[in-house]
Amino acid sequence: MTDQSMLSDESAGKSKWYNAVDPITKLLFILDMALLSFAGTNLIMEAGLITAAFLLLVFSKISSTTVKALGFSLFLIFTMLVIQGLFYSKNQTVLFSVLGINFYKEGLMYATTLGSRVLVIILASGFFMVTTTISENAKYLEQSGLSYKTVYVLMSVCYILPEIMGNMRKIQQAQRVRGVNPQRTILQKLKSVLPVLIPLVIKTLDQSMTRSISLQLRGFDNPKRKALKADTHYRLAGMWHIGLTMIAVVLIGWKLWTKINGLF
Amino acid sequence: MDEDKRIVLENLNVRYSGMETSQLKNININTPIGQIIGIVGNSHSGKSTLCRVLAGIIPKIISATISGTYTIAGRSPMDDWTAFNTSTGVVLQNPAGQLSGLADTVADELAFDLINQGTSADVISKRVANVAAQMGLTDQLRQKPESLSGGQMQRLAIATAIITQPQILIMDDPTSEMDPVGRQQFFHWLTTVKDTTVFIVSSEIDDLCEVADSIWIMSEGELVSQGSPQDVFNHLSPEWQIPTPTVYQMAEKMNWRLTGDVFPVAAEELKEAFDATN
Amino acid sequence: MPQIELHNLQFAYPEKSFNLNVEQHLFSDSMTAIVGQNGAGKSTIFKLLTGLLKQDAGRITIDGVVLNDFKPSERLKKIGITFQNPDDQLFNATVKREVEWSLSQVNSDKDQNAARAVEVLKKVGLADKSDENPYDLSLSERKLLTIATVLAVDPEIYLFDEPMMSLDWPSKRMVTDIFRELSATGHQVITITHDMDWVAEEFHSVTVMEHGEIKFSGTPRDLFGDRELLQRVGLLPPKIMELAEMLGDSKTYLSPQDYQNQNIVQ
Repeated sequence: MTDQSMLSDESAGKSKWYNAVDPITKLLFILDMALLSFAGTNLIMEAGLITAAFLLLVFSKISSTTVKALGFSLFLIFTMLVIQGLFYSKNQTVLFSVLGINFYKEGLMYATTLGSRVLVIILASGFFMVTTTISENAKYLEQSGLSYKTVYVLMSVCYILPEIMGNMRKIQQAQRVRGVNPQRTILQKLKSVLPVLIPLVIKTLDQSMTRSISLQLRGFDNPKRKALKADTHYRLAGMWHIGLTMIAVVLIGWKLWTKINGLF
Repeated sequence: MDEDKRIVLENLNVRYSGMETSQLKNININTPIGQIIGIVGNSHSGKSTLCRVLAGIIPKIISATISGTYTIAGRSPMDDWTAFNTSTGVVLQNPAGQLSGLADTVADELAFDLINQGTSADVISKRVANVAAQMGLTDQLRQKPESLSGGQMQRLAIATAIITQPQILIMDDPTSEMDPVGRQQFFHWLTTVKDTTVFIVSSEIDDLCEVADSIWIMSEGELVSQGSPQDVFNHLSPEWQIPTPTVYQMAEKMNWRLTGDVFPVAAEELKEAFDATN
Repeated sequence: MPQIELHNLQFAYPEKSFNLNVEQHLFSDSMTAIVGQNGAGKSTIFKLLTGLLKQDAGRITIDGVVLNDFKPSERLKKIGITFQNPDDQLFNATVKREVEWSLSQVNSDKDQNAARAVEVLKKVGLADKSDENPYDLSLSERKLLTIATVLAVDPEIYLFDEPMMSLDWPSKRMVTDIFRELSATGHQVITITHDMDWVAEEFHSVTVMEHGEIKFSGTPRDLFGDRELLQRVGLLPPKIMELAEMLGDSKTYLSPQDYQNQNIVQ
């Protein structure tokens, strides 16, 4: 037939190294990275963790959304630095002054540590998000023995955010065409977004309802459903799970131990 | 005739909860299965509600106050929902809403219905290839479903409905986003469908008259007319606000009549009326 | 009537193998249809005309003024658009507010806007639905609502992307009447459509696109008379011509009425 797709064939790509790592390993990796960064107290270790997570992300794939999300988190971390540098309650030592305003060492240190931890988690989760798709997770969970209905409910929760964002993008585009608000600054964006939040939610719910009807019609809860063997081969999944879980247990144990010791 | 070979709707009334008036009023039909039935009507005529009843969406998925009976080939959605649902293929008005959202590729999206029925892997890959070829989606099999154009998305929706080889196919305006050539190919494909009862809501009257065995006209929740295309379009009431097919308009302008003093509605009939006059 | 001029217009989507390339084109008829297969670049032209996309090279002028030089509020009074899918365009909680939102962009007087909204909703037959949520309307009605939001602002140029798609018959008639009225009152209406019967019957001017280029511009009679061109760009003639051809007559006809006029000797 005659329709011509204007998109290039993206999904036919070859299997990459990160496709050999299963979703649960990736989730455990996020957990371990988070625990490590909270266990660490010196900035060199945080820098090491950030570098490690960042490299993983660089060697998997970087999309424009990742860059945007990173930019936004860096912006938040920067504001945190400024605020803590100025107003942290334990501030004593002036590190430097800008236009007569003093920035304090304690606050900056505190904010840097906190900011690094957040960044580690964001980078590690970013790695998970860009290297797995909702459908991969769904298949994996179903093969791990969950019923498809349960998987679907879990996945529709993951699905709702991109859906809302997609709808939001369309609304913003419509507002640009139908309106005069240029939506360049954050304030202009907020002003255009706030009044449409309720219609946005209604629209998204409406879509979920249509999808749910259609899935029932397509028989997704048919008792005869038999999941196909996934064609992706995960390497050493079992070993990774055990290893990463052990690291997590050790880290949590150690943290608890130091806490308890600290009490006495 | 045998109950197993008929579509029977008796005194069917449907009212959505929270609504004051009924969406379907006293629908009565008794007609053989295996036909292509074109359903025609304007906004709020009840045609989409009728599709929902025919597919069993009402009352199995969407609740509504419903009275009367509905059986097709002896089966009712109320008796054995899984069996009934397995025997139907449904294309909803909004093709994008039909996607599972859990498939990375068009091929995965197509396989979904078969996996649900527990079909074996080699049958699945054969059927996916076959249905994709029928709907002109072979080159798109490895693409993401969201990347398809509106017309392609509708063909994917149709493909997911026919891949399970249902005996009953229910389609709500399946060609609205296709270009003329795509639409022509779809209606041509429809004539090749065998051993299937097809309900198709469409505003493409010219095409319906070429392929449909029977036309149902809906107006304000009532089934106001049913019969062969020729019969129905020769007896339109202006109240229904339904246009006549181009063939009819042409023949009427030229006064080309068939025996029985009726105007033709399909190309073949036009030729016959033309030859009889000239 | 406003004149839209495209000059050496070029545009390419990143990551897609599609190029729009229009050397020189003038939209100067009161009612123009843009036709062509899916993916020919019809909607891209509309997105460039409304500033949703920016061209890579070339320029668009309206009555000699470069499009990008218009202030946003001036642009809204010049060009209004409805999208193919109404759901991409509606974002307010009620039908009335949807129209008032558009009006509020060009006029700050709330009372005037409310009165105008009532007037326009009456025109598209949605007056009794003004307090409903747009999502509770039928697809056909949502489509009419998007048309109402543009009519309310009353720009000089109207762009409609597939206005007839999913409309029911009474609505189709209503929209055709609205188009005739707009075209008779000095507006310019440009419509993307797949409906060749409608193009043949209603339009004075038709522009054919294929692979991002304009391949033809002229009257429907000239277009549908050129079978070789139709074939090349993948278009079908109106139904009446298909029927006439089946009866062994390959002349150009635009409607059953046209057929009668040419074949019955008075």
